[in-house]
Amino acid sequence: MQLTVNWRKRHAPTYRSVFMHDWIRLPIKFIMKLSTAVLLIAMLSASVMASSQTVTLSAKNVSLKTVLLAVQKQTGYTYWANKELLQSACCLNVHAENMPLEQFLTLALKGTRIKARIEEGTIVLSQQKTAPSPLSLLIAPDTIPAQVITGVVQLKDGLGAPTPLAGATVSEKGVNGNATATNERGEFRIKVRTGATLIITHVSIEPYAVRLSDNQTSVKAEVNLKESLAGKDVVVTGYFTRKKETFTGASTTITRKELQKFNNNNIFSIIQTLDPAFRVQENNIAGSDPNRLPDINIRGISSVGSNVNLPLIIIDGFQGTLQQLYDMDVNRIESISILKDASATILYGSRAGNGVLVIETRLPKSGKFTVSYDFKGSATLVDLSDYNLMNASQKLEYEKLAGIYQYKDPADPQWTADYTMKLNNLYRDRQLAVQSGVNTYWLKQPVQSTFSTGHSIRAEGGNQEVRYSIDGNYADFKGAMKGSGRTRYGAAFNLIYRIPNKVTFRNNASFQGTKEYNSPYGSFSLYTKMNPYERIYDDNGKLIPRYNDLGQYFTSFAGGVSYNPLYNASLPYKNFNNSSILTNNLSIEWFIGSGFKLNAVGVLSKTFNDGELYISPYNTRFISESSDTRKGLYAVNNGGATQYQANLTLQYGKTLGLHSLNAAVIGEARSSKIDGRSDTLRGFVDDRFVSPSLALGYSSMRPTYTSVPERLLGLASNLHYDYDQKYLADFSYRVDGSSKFGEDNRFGSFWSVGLGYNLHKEKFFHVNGVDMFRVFANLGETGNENFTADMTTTAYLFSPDARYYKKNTTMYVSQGNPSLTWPKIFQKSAGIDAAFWNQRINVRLNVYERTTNRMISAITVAPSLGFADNRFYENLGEVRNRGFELSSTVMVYSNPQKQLYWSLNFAAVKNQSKLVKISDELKKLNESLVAKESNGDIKRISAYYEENQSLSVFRAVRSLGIDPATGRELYLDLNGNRTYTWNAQNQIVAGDKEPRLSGTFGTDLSWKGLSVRLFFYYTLGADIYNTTLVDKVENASPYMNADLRILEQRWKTPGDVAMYKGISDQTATQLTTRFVQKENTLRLASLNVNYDFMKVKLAKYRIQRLRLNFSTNDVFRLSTIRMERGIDYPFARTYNLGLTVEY
Amino acid sequence: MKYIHIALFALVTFTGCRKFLDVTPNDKVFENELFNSRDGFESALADVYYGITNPNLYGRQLKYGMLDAMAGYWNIPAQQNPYSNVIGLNYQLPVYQTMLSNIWSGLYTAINKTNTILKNIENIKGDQYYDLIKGEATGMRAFAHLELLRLFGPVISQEGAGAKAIPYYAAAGNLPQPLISAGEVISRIDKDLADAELLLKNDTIKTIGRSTNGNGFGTIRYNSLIDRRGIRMNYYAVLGLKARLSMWAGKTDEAYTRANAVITQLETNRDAAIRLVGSSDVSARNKRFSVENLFGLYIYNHRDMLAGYLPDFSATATPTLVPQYTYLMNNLYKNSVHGSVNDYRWINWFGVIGTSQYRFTKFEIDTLPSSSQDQYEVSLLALPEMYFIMAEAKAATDPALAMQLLNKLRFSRNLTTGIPYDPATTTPEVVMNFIIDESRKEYPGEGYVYLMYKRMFRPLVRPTGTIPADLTIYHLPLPVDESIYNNTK
Repeated sequence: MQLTVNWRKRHAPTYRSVFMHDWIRLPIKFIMKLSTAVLLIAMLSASVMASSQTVTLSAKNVSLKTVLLAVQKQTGYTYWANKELLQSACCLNVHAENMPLEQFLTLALKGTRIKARIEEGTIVLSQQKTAPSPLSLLIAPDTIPAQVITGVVQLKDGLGAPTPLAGATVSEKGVNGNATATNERGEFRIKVRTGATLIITHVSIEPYAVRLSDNQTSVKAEVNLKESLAGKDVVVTGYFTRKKETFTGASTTITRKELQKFNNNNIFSIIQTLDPAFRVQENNIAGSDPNRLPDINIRGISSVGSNVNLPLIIIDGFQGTLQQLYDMDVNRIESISILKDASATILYGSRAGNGVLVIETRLPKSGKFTVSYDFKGSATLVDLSDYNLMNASQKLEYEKLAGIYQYKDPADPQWTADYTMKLNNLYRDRQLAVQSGVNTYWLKQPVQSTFSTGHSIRAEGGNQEVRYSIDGNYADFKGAMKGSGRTRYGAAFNLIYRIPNKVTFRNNASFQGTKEYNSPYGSFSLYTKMNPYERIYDDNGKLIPRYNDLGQYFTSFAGGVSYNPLYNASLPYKNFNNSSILTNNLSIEWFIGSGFKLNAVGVLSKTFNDGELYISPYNTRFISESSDTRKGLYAVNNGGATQYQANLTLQYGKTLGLHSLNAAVIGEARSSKIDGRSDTLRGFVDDRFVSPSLALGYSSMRPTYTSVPERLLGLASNLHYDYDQKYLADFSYRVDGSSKFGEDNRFGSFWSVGLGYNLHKEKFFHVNGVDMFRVFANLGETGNENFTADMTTTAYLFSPDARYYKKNTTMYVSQGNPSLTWPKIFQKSAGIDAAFWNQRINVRLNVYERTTNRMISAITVAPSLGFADNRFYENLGEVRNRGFELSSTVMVYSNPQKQLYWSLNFAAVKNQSKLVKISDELKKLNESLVAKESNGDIKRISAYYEENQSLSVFRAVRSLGIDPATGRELYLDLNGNRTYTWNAQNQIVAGDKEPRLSGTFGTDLSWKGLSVRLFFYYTLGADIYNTTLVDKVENASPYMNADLRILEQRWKTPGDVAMYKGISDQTATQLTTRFVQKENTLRLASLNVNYDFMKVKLAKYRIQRLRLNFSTNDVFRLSTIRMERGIDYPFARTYNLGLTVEY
Repeated sequence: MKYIHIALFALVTFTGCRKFLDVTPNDKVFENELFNSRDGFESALADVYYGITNPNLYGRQLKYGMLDAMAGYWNIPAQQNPYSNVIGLNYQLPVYQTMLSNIWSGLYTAINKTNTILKNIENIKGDQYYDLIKGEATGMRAFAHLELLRLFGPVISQEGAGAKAIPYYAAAGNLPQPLISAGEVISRIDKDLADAELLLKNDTIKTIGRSTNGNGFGTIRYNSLIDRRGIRMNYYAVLGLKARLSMWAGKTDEAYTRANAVITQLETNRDAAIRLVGSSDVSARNKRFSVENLFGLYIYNHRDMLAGYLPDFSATATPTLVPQYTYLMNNLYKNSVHGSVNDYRWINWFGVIGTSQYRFTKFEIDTLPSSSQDQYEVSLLALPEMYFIMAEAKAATDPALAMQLLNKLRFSRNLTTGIPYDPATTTPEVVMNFIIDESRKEYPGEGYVYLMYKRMFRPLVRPTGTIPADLTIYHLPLPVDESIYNNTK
């Protein structure tokens, strides 16, 4: 845990000329681990020199600057003073010969009000102190016995030593006009009546009162940051905290306050709503499956492959997994920072390329012992509105039209007659069923509406020295498919011990567990294909297991036998995975003094996983297995991970007049080892007895066992300089070594430079109505280490089957590329933050360009190279992502008297990826990516890589639509000729899946304790290949149920102007532009209603806070195209009801 | 001084860092760990041999499967048979594309494996078996390239040695190599074979023979390199390959000399135990004549591979591949001019169940491996080929000698009556026909005949009809992927 520190204000400005850039010149590459601290100390002592210089100078009426320049020339001593000071002293007269420097300076400055000191090679000039700052003294009316009170106001924010609060108003209660303001050290002096009460106010705090005792003359007030502001104007980088105002990178911080308002357990959808640059890829296949982790990225994709664009997740300074964050109780989170560009992420060096999510958990609050309890109830309702299937009579009509009840074999009239009779019987049976009212709605069979609950409780308390908190949470979320869900539970204990201004010690132990359980009903798609004229149960109420059965010897005719998925669902089944993680995070912070602070962090975490999958031997998937020894399946897996990390951070902060300097050097070592083992057993005789020990054997010769260690060493440094908080500059550099890279390329270095300008601090920019206007820009290079050891080295396995004569062989399994090296991600980013009219309007604009060089991609090679799977990994290609993010908030109405506020917000994001450079190999990869069916048909779109194209384009053959005369599709070849034949060579780039623009807009209305929030999410102009039209309207098997459009909109007779090909045409429809549609979507991503009860009313029940909350996500979704969503698992809406009580 | 200390300190921590970072997953074995002792080389070399036992290669397609279906040994119905589309020799069919591409990549994978071994071989420089391992790997690289040349290369007698053939991979690397001419491929194979010959000059096969286990009694740590040399790339295999290469290159005189050297050396050194079969060698348990193998491939699970295709264990179920029994009997084995009912091959390799269920039983395995290892050997290069090479080399210039050599081979097959040589009627063409017929009798199930016809550029004679010699039938196309991904010029 890093702390909020503002070094400038906390340390008295004693001058010292240790320039941080001296450190940068060190051979940083060679310093690792502990050597950091040692070397720094060595350098410090090296820079101290004795001063015994003399000056010879004779001049009249010269400026101080001239004198100092002369001195510099003679002695080599530079000077440090601010501009006004230099200009204030002119017309000096000096005469000196071989005079010691100090004596000379005293002589030269005689008569001025300037004082000079020599510190380590630098002449430091400062104004001679006379009286206290004029700000800090105001005389109270002299009528009542009065005394002068001196004091200091300090701001507590987070854990660090409190920082001085400048510009706070200190006033005497009840006496109008008796007020003063604190100076930049937080000090004040005020003359007040004896026994008065002081009121301290400031925009960032709640009013704070100090009652003075009769003879008290000094006050030390530590005030808390206003809760609504906590964390708002800081950026947590995970290594340390920076004020947003002086930050030169692009980031978004989400505070607990905001998370609470959402009352939603899906962290990812909250983040996406608040910062649309964070993308959660909509997963059409997985729908609302609670056990499917979302695919996320920040600012678009930059690498080809699955899961290679995942941002780095840092939880309390420690690298976490996507699952860990997914399962984290939102109530535990204090803040989430999304770090997006080079300046913001650079300290993560090799891991930073995809952006960083920094999660900080809550710290114990000091003060009275409090207990808070949070309840969440959520109702989940399945959303099947995207399905538009045929009913029983429509399906039968379609089957007739599709011609599946006709058969003719001219060579064999006898067989034709027999078979036709069978088909006729089948049709008549179905017709009878339809007439008798059978119309099974299969879709609702495997789904359910559920109500789930979650609880979390937290107790905290303590004083200045010791603070603690303990919390626990449990939530069981039931999914829309019957029998599926996810249980999450956790507990944490936090202890903080402080010796103010010396040492802060913090230990955080936490436990987090998850059980995911999956539905025995299998894939939802099974039910969308079932024919509605089939009954589920027979007349006796028993499940019918087989359908479409023409009898023995005919099982493969007329579409073949199909099985009732509900029969399989009725059998014993197990499918769950447990995982739990124990983490202990220890941090010691030592305020060394004179601007130095040392922070040591040690984290240890252990993960445990286990899972089981059992499928009954009577499951229809084993129907063709003849032997009992092969029926049934029991997979058992267990594993875990051990991770540890140690960080040592040395920070230095210094303020020198208006100059302010912050520097940090970080040494880091990280190790993680992931282990796993799994066995698959088979051969179950009786499905009543479900145990691995009752299996007849293994389904493979041996268990799989993995042990994957990864290690990382990093040395990072950061230098931040600002002048008067106006001009900001940041320089960072990091060297990383990773075990994942080939021996020849273990180390990589990364850097960034950032500049910022707070225009609103400039006098000339004091325009009415502009509260804030800051700009920043940065550039830098970070890395991405998403890969595994076997990409760099050729790997071998042993197999019981691989044996030559008496010798077991090492089987060659994959080809390595030892010269594989770090991909480098070069980023340029700039932004504007502005606020107008008392924060009534806030605008943020970020633009960026991110170029991924040496992208790691799997390369398909000529088979003559003889590589396993004909591939290896190579640094190839260059991808450029360009885009912008715009967000604004407008306070439309604000009435503090009535406590009525209404605001609107709007955000837009655009990202465009482009393959700038692509190797021949990657181009060839296109061919291998094409998802060909075994007979050569191409029905699925596949990624397509071509220079100057986006990474998300896809290809198809140009279509002219369905020919009304024949019902066949007419294509256009590359030369513009019409043709009926589909040819892969005629494919063109048909669309880009990336939306042209996406974002959110919403509104926020609050009145006293009540607040209502709506967030809409929109995407514009994405090209979608409508798979429903392909799979469910054209390529659907007539033996299965399909989209209603198959009956209504397919071509039937010559002259029909139809969208879809002939109804009896069973040939495969291949990729054509006919199915490419532009999609615009709008969904009400979240709706929140919060009600906070008034504190006054609660007081008599000794309740500090009571809050009610209602929220729902995805209330509706509008799209310009009609497509089935939620293929394997349906989408669902969740309505949450929350209650928070704090005692 | 201070800086020296700093530098030293940095150096120490730096090496510490390297060590800290030097971890690898243990679910696999990685190249640098595998190849730091002889054990690793032994098992990697075993993988080279094991890799080519695959049914896509010598486990099936390059033996009784694709190649012999093409040569017409089997009676394949027009439908319901995996080889129905093979006999038509239409190489554009998906079934061919798949088989050819598996053969191509399978053999090149073997080459890549040998190159990886050779890349690391210097790690065990000084090891007692360094020469043997390096020799075997080099020899295998040559062998695989020669096989690829024979399959996918040009018909040299027609197109000349300058015709484009295949890529040659002489070292491990990531870059595809260009197709080079047949002549260049041949000279590179020749060089590899020469190197291998030198490295294998102390091969223990010369002293303990082709099938003996060189590990003495009570050996604790088994060394697979010196056990059963006949199933590994050995000294005589290299010599034999040299002869095969010369013949393929069309250098008949060189081929004669080289083949003769093999026979002479083996006749003078009986310890090598490679010889033509005699009556005592031929039994129900030893139909494969493994004692003749200069280089055999040991396939421990050969029976599994045969299952369904050929009788693997006196099975009565109808296999996929049924021999052209009547044709082979009437035209070859019991041919009135050169055939005999006593032919060991006919007696041992063909059978009838009932009246018309014909079986090719050469590969039947009736015991466990321990009692008769010979039953698990598949021949990659055998002694008879040396006789055929010599005979063919002399067919035009010295037909008498050619006939004499052929008769010597026939004698070992229990064809005790030699075909008489008559200068008037036994023209070189007649000799060639004898050689071809004898080869067709010698090599059912061996994938030899189609390649023989290709080399000679003669019409492909099959029971179902004779296909005139044409480049289209003797040009196996390169896999499509090769032309896509290998665009080196």
